Amino acid sequence: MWAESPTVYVLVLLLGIWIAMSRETRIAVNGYVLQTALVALLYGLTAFQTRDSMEYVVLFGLVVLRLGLIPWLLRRFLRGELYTARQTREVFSPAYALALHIILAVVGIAVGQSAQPGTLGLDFGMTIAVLLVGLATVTIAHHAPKQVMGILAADNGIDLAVVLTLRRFTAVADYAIFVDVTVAALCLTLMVLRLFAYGSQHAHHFNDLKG
Amino acid sequence: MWTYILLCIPLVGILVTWLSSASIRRWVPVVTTGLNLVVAAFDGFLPKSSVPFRGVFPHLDTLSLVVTGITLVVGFTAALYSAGYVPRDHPSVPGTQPASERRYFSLFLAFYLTMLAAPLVENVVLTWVMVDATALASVFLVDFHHTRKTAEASWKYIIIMEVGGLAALFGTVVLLLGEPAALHDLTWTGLTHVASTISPKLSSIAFVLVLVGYGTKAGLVPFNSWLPDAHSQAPSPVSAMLSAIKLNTAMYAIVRVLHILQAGHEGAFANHALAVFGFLTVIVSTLMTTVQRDVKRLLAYSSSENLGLIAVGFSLGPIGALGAYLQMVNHSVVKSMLFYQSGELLLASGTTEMAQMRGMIRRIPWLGVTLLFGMLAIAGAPPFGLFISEFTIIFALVHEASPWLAALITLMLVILFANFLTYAMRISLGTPSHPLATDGSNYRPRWTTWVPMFSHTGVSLALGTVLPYLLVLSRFVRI
Repeated sequence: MWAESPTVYVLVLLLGIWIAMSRETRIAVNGYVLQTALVALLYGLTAFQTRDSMEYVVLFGLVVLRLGLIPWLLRRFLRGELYTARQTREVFSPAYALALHIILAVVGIAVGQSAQPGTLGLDFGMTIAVLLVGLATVTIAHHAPKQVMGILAADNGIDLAVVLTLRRFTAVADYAIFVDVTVAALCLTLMVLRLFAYGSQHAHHFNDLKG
Repeated sequence: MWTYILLCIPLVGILVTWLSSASIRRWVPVVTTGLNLVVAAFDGFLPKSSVPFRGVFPHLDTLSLVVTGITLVVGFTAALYSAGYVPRDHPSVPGTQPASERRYFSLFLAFYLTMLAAPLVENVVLTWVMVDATALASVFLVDFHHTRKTAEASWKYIIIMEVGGLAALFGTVVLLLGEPAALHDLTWTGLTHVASTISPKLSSIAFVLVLVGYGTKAGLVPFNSWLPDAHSQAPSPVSAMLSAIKLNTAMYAIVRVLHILQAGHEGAFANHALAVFGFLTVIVSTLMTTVQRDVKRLLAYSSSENLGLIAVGFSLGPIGALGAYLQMVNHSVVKSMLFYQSGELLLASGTTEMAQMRGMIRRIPWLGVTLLFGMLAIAGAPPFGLFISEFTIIFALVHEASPWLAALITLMLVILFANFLTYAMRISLGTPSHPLATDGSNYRPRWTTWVPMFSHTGVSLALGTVLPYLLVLSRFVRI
């Protein structure tokens, strides 16, 4: 079955790179929605295969909080320039950034396979790759909303890893993570607005604190 | 049940903070944290248990009890200090002060609640959630003054905390992935029991991720760039809680995973990794204290240095762990006091620049004297408690590792001592170089200012002088 192959993992990784390469928050949010929908698909398939009712409950939380509430919060708070302005001054040029993300993806897959040989290792490698690409987005982006998107994309990488261990997680633990990530998204978005109130949405314009 | 009561009281406190009037609101955290102290003390000293406080949390070990105890005590004194500090720190602007105070005190209690919950919950994932939530609850406290600098510090703080949080969560998931027994309860105890079945390769990867993730939150070098910024920009009681409680909460999570690897086959690797980060943190942070001009940044680097020492201690077996526990307690007591004093210095002189606050003993004698004591205490001078805990860690280094490493740490502590002695003499002694920023109308210390400072000084002295007797009693405590 196609869903049991790494296809979905590959798509999640490609969407992670899409978020990393996007120059508008609007595009990144769309990429995040698609990426989260694919993670939800994996949750649903696991629930279907295990026939565990609690996993459907977890899937419900994922859809409501991660797929519904977080994109809504982003669109609700990041309006106007914050949402649609095109960023053209990143640390790396698009060509270098793309090369970096591809290298990180390869490194992630290699580490995963060396730690856990076989299909599980490939899936595990993809999760590391998604995480690394997301964290790289946070690191090399100056644009505060894009840094937020990098964190959310990296978090989807962790959710991919959670899928591999889903039967060991309780619904309470899953929901606790979902709520924490939702609150984190809210706090990050509010902090973007605080920065924007001082005239910039770029983190590198704030460099008064040194030493 | 007692655990739930301890966690429910702050929840009710948050609700009351929102509903009460301005005059009552600032006392709600004092009552809440005080009530928690009473609940813990009342049950802890009931004769049903041979070990004090074991009765409150029957499933908790020494590590959880130490971190919980620190949170209860420092949380209370920080609430008490806040009750007097916040109205003075945030001068009255018609129509804005009540809203600000409501935000401050409700977030204060949320911050306290998450830090209290982290060592009390048994589930590994819930521990991660609570440790991560400490950052979410405190980010708007760091930004309480609403300036460009606080916004910068808060942004850096939350971004680095979330990146660290992602690494820690991924490490936790990898640890579960490497455990083939399909464990369902996901508790620290459960994972420790099945530690030998966890794949060594995956457990090593997991520990590195956890060390990076929680190490970021604990202020270990090289992930500590958020620490001086957040500590220097936050209101002083919040800086005290960040330094005295939050850093320990993150270290708690590292040590929990360390215990799992020690119970499995990768204990040596985990000890070495933790020791390397600990040494690096002590060396870099000590050297950074030599070039500081801002008193709160100086204290922040000192916190980082102390957490480095704690990390070294936990990597050195039972004697080192004892030193690390004592260091956690002593550092929390002294550092929170110093942050309260930095708050008074800020109110009195209008700045945190050390060059502009000379001769404090002549200007405000009680503040100058307690500050001198506090600086000596954090520098590790006897008879304060930090002297004994640092001595224990150095002894463990000689006993378990190498005399050369012990010599290196001792050299760093000597440099640190010289630095703090110099800073303490500059601030407290000498001729005042600048006039006080306040005419006295804003600087009105009350009993809520004095009680936390004098009580912390007393506790630190007691820990230094009575500690040998406590060490004899420690045979009752499982380490």
